Amino acid sequence: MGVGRYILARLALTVPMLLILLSLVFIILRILPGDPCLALLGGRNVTPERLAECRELLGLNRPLVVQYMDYLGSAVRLDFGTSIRTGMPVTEELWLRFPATFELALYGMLGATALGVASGVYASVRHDRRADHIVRVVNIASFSMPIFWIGLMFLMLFAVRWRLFPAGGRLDPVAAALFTPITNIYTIDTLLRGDLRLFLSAVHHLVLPALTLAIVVSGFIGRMTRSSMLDVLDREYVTVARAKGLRERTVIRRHALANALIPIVTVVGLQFALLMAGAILTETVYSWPGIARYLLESISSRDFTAIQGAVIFIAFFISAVNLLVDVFYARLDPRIRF
Amino acid sequence: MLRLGRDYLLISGMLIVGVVVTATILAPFVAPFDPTAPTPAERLQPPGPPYYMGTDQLQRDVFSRMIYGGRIPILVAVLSCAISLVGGTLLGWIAGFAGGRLDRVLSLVMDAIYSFPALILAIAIVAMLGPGLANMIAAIAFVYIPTYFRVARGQVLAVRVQEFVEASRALGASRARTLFRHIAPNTLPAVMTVPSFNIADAILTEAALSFLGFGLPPPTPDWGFDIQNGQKFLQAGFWWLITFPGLMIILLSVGFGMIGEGTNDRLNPRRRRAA
Amino acid sequence: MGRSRPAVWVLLAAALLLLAGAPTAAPAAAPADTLVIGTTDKITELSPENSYDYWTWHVFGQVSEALVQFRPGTTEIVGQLAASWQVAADGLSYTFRLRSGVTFTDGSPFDASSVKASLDTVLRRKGPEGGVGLIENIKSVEVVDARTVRINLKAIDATFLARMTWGVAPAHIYKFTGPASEYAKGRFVGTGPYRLTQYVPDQRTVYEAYAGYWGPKPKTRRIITTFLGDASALAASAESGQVDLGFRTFNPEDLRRLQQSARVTVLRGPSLSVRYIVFNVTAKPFDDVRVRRAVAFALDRDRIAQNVFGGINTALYSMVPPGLWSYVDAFPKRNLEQARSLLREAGYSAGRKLNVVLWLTPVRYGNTEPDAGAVVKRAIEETGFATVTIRTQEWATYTKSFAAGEFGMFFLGWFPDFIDPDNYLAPWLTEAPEGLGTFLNKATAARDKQYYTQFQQLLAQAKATTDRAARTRLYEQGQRLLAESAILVPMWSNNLQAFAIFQKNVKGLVLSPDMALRTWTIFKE
Repeated sequence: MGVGRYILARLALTVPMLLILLSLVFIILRILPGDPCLALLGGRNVTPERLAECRELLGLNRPLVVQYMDYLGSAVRLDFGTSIRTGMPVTEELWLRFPATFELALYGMLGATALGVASGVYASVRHDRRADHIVRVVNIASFSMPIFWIGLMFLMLFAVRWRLFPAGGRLDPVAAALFTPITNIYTIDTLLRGDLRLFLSAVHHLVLPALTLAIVVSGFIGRMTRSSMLDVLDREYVTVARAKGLRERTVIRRHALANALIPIVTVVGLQFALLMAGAILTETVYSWPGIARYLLESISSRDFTAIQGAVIFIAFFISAVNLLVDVFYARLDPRIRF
Repeated sequence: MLRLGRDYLLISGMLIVGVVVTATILAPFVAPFDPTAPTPAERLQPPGPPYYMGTDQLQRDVFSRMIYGGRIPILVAVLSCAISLVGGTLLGWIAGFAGGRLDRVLSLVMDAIYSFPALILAIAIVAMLGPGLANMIAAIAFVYIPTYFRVARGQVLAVRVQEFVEASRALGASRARTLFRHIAPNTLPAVMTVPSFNIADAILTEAALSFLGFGLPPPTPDWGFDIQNGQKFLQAGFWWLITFPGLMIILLSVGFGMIGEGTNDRLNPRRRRAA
Repeated sequence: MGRSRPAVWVLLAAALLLLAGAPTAAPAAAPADTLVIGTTDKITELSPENSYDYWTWHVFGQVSEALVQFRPGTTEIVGQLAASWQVAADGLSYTFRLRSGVTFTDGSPFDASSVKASLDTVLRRKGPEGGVGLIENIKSVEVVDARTVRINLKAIDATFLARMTWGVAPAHIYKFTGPASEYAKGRFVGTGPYRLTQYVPDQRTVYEAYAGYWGPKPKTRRIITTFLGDASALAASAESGQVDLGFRTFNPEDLRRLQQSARVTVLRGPSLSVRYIVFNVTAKPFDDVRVRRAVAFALDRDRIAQNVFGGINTALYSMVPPGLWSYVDAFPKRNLEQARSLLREAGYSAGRKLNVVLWLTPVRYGNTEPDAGAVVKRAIEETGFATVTIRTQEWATYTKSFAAGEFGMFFLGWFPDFIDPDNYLAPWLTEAPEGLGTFLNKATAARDKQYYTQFQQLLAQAKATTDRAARTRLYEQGQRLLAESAILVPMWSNNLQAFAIFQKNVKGLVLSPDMALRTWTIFKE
C-alpha cells in the first residue's frame, strides 16, 4: 500500500466520523431548547408577528429534516451561511479568526512540547530519585490546573502588578490599525513586512497566552515522555550503546529520545483537542480574537449558524491534525508498512 | 499493601482528597461563618484573623466559601463520572461482545465524540439545556462516556478469546451470562483505573463551566464561580478573591490525579532499570 | 545533574530573551491626530435596519446623521440635517426644511430625495433583529421640493420627533451603495463627520474625518476603536495609556480606584439607563398587589448600590430616571415593617412563608448580576416571611421564558430607545405587556384589571398632546400609579455605562443624557 492509499484509507474513516459529529451538533443545537429569534429580539417589544417574521427569515419554521439536509449540504460546501448575530458570512468570520487561534495553539503546542519533553526526559533519567518525584508531581499539577485561573494569575502578576506584558489583544491598537496583515498570523506577517518593532509587539502580546496554554498541556506530554523514555532506556540497543562507551548524553539523545519520540508525537497530536478546549478559556481571559471566543459569543446569543460553523470548523481542524499525526506516525514507525 | 516509599503518589493523593472531601462534608462545623451571609467585617478586607482568606465585596468570609465551595464540584464530578462509568462501560461491553455492525457504529460514534474537545461539547450542551446542577452533570457525563467505552471494549476484545470464556460458551451458557458472568468482571480492573483521572478532569470541566457562567445560581458557593467573581477585582488588586478558589481546585484535582497515577503505577509497575 | 541541562538552559534563555524584549515593545502613544477608544461593547450587525444595540448604533452615529438631534448635554430637540420643521395642525404630518450644502461622505449630494430613499429602504427592509419598529408609525415620506420633505404619520404621536433624533439608527439618513446582504461590510455612506475605513470584527474599527463635512470640522483626524474582551482589560488599557479613552463598561471597583488616580481623568456622564424587577401579574402569588408591594418595601437599594457597585450605581425610586423631565420619587424607601404587614395581610407569616423564585440572567447585564440577585434575595428574606430561590437562564432562553409567562419575578434592564418618559412606562404597561413579561393585559385580579385600564387611558392621553406641562403632569401620575401597583419595581440607576476614563491630554469630551459618545468634539493636546 502506498502512502497515498494509506492517506485515502484514513480519509475514508474520517468522513463517517465527521458526519456523526455534524449530526450531534445539529441535535444539540436544534432539538434542545433555546430560541434564536427571541434571543435576537431580546427583551424589547416582541410581538408574535415579529417573532413569526424572524423565524421565517431564518428558515427555522421549515421541517427539521429539510433543515438537516440543508445543514449537511452547506457543511460539505464549507458554506456555513450568514451569521444571525453579525450578518456576515460565517465562513468569512471563521477564516478571519482562525489564524489567531492557530497562532496561539501553535506556539502553545511548541512551548508545551519543549517543557514536556525536557521535563519528561529529565525525570526518566533521574528515575525514582527525588528529582523524578518532583517532576512527576509538577506534571500532575500542571494538568490539574484550571487554565483560566493560570491565565488570570499571569495577568494579575505580569500585566497588572509588574506591567511586563499587555493585558490582552494581539497588537498595539494603533499599530494594528495601520498594519495590513497577509496571513493574519502576526508573528509571520510582521516579519514578512520587515517590521521588527511590530514583530516584537506581536511576540510581546503572545507570550502570556501561549505560556498559559503550554503549561497546561505540558503535563501530559511530560508524563508520556517519561514513561516512553523509561521503556526505551531498558532496551538492548541503549545498553549496547552504553557498552560501546558513548557519552551518556549522546546515548540519551541519539538512541533513547529518538526512539521514544514516536509515542510522544502521537500524544502531541492528540492533545490538539485538549488544546482547542484550552484555547476557549485562554482566548476568553486574554481578549484573544480567535475562533473559540467567537464560538462562546455565538453560544450566548444562540447564533445557530455561527455555532454550527465554528463547531464544524473545529471538527474539521482536529480531524485534519489527527490525520497528519497518523501519517507522521506511519512515517516514523518502521513497523507500519505502506 | 501500601508502602510509603513506593506508593507516595497514591498515599498523598488519598490524603489530600480525604482532607478536602471531609472538610467539605463537615463544612458546617469547619467553616467559621455562613458562606452566603455578610459578616461584620468590612467588604474586601484582606486576609487576616478571623477572616483567614479575607472577605469579598458582599462582606462574606472567603475561607468559609472555600470550604463550602467544594460541594458542587465534588458532587458534579463524582456523579457525572459514575454515570459515564456505568453508561460507557455497559456500551463498551456490549459493543465488544456483539461485534459486527453494532460495534462498528458504536465505536465510530464514540470516536467522534472522543475526538472533539470535551469542554466545548459540554459548554454547548449546558448552554442549550440551561444552567443548573442536573444539566451540568448530564453534559459532563455525556462527554466522558467514550473514555470508558474505549477501555471496556478493548478489554472485552482481549478477554473474550481466553480459554475460560470459550469453555463457558461451549458449556452452553447464554450470551448474556457469558458476557456478564465471565467477561465483564475481568475487564473491571482496567476500567477502574480511569475514574480518578476522570474525576480530576471533571472537576476542571465543572470549574470551567461555572467560570463561564453556566453553573449554579448565586449565592451558592462554588470555586469556579468565585474565580469569575474575583476576575472583576483583578485590576483593583484584591488578589485573595481569585487566588484561593484556584488553589482549592488545583489541590483537589491534583489529589485525584495523584491517586490515578499511583494506581497506574501499582497496576503496571515499571521495570526497574538495571543499576 | 549533567545530562538534561541543555534543554533547561535553552528554555531559560528563551524566557529571559522574551522578558528582555518586553520593555522595548512597550506601547507607543498614539500620534496627536489619532484617538484610540477602548470598549468592551460589541458590534453586532452593521446594518441600520437589522441592529439594535448600543455600539452598533454608535458606529452609525459617527458616520451618519438624522433630521433632528438632542442639543448635546440636554434633552432639547434641535435640527441636524433639518434646519427647521413644522407640525401640521392635526399632528399627523411633519414638514422638514433641509440644510443646504450637505454631502454624503462619498461626495454625492444630499437632498429631500435622499431622505425619502433612506427611510423607505429602511422601513421596507426591516430586519428581524432591528429597531425599525421605533419609526414604523411613518405612513409615507413625500418629497415636496429639493430641500423640503414631508413625513406623514399613521397615528398622532407626541414622541415622534424623539424617535427621529440622531442616535436612533433607523431614523438616520443613509445612501445605500450595495445590496442588503453586504451591509455588514459597510456598504452604505452617511453625511457624518467621519467615514468608516476599517472594520475587523471583534478587533477594531477605524474612522477617518470626512473633509467635505458640512458642520464644524472634527477635532481629530483618525479614530481607532479597539474592542477588548472584558472590563479588567479595559481598565488596564486605560490606565497604561494603550487607549486614550475608555468607555463602556468598567468594573465598579476599577472606577473607584481610578477616580483616585493622578494618571487619568474619570468623567461621569448623565445616565438614563435603569434596572428593575418585573412581576408577571398573572402568576401566583404576584397576582396579589400586596405581595408585589411587600417586595418593593423590602428591597434594600442602598445595600445594592454600596456593596455590589461600590457606590457607582445609585438607588432608583422611579422607572423614569432622575434627570429626565417628569421624574418623581414615587417608590417608597425601605421599610421592613410595612413589608411584613403587607405579607401578613396577604396571609403569610414566619410559619407559613412566601416561597418565590427570582430569575436573573448571568452574562447579559455584566458580572455584577449574581451579586445583585444575592442581595435582593437576602433583603426579601429579612422580612422573615419569605424564602427566595434564585434561578438563572442564559439570555437567549431567558427572553423566551419571560415572554412565555414562565417567570413570576425577574430582573430586567432598560436603555431608552428614545428619550421620553413614555418609553419608560408604555412598553411594559400598554405597548408590549406580554413581550416584556408583565402580562398586564391578561390580568386576572380585579385590581390589576383596573390598573391596566388606568394606564391605557393615562398613557394614550399623554401621547396625544404635545403640551410639555400637561404631559409632565400625566407622567407624574403614571409613576405614582406604578408605585402603587408595583408591577415594575425600579432598583438602581445604571450609571456604570456613563463613565469615561481618559488620558490627561484628552479634551473636549461631552457626555449627554442620551449617553452617546460624540467623538468629533474630542481632541488630544
